[in-house]
Amino acid sequence: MIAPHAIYIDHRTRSTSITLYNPGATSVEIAIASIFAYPVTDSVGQLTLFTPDSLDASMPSAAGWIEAFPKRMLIAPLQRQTVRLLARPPQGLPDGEYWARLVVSAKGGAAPAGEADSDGISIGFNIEIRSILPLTYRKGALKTGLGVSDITSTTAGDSLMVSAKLTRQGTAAYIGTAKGTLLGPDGKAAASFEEPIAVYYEVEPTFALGTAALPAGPYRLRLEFLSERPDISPELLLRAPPLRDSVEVRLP
Amino acid sequence: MSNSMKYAVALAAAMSLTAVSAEAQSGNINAKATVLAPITIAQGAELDFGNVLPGVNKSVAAASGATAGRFDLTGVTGANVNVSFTLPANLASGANTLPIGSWDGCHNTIANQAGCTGFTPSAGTTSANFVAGALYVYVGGTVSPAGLQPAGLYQANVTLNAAYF
Repeated sequence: MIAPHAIYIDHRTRSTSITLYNPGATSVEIAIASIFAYPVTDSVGQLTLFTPDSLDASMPSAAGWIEAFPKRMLIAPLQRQTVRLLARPPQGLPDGEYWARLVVSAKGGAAPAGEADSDGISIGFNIEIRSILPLTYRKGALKTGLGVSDITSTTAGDSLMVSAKLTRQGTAAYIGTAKGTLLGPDGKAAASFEEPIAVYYEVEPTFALGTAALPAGPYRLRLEFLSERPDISPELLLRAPPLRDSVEVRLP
Repeated sequence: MSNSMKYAVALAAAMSLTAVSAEAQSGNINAKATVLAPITIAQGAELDFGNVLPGVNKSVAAASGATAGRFDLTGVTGANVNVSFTLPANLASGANTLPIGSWDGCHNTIANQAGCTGFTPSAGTTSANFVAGALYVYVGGTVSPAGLQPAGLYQANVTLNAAYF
């Protein structure tokens, strides 16, 4: 168990900590590293991590100057470990937001395996689990915002698939929540979704609304984007005005 | 995510106590705690091929096999997670190798293989959502021992990557 799962470091303190907890019955080996990556969307509108092959000066990477103490550890069953994250940014770092992904690798203490005997073939796997978490380093006064365009909807089976182009504005990533409500002719909500979003540059996410039991006809789709997330403390999020839009859709 | 889980990891706490003397009959305690939303990833079940015979392929189906491997992930409801695997082509026992013919996988938002969404774990990244704060990833595959496959314990490394946003 890792907490928090979204890590923020301010330039004034240049440090924070995470806590790891091993709820299992065997010890776990942990190793911590950082990489540069940020979310984009794939061809079907799902968020995926983009990891550049190489870094250039235009990329706001904090991966090279975030250090974990300790980097490696063994956590006994039902024990917890606090890991301090210390930033050593380069001199003269311009104001801005810098990104990394913290990679927490966990290996079990022993290889699971079947019974090994002299006559048979048995098989065992050594399992490693890597949790890849967003890390944000902020220096100076930052602003974020969101531009929404190209809202489209298509039906696919018993779902209405809604997509929109979301473009980050300002000087920091937009971390928030997308909400959608499908309103029937009577104005009542017929279906809805609510999903966390992370817009570092530009994404085109696809959201699904279940329409299996809905009669054919005209509906209004209301979209709302809020700079708040239920899983991230409000004081860590940069606020932006709520955005609302709506489009007419027709269910077959 | 359940409240009990959230409160189980009320990891950062700050407390301020009013002065209470040893003789006090009553007192006030103001306490506050910051609840940090955690994530968990655990191996829920080992992928178990059981007894393997030389020259006989052995399969465990991710979507239906009773001995499929399972990983249990938790995250914020509605959030997207990317799951990918680093998988071996062979198992090894000393200098001997045992080929893994194929891998297969599926995921579900409940701990049940029925109705799970299939994917190929060896073919890049799979996106899924924590519809109810949890995701269960099942893994199966086929091992292909040779006719004269030497006996022994064959092992390999399997890595699960889970990227949160």
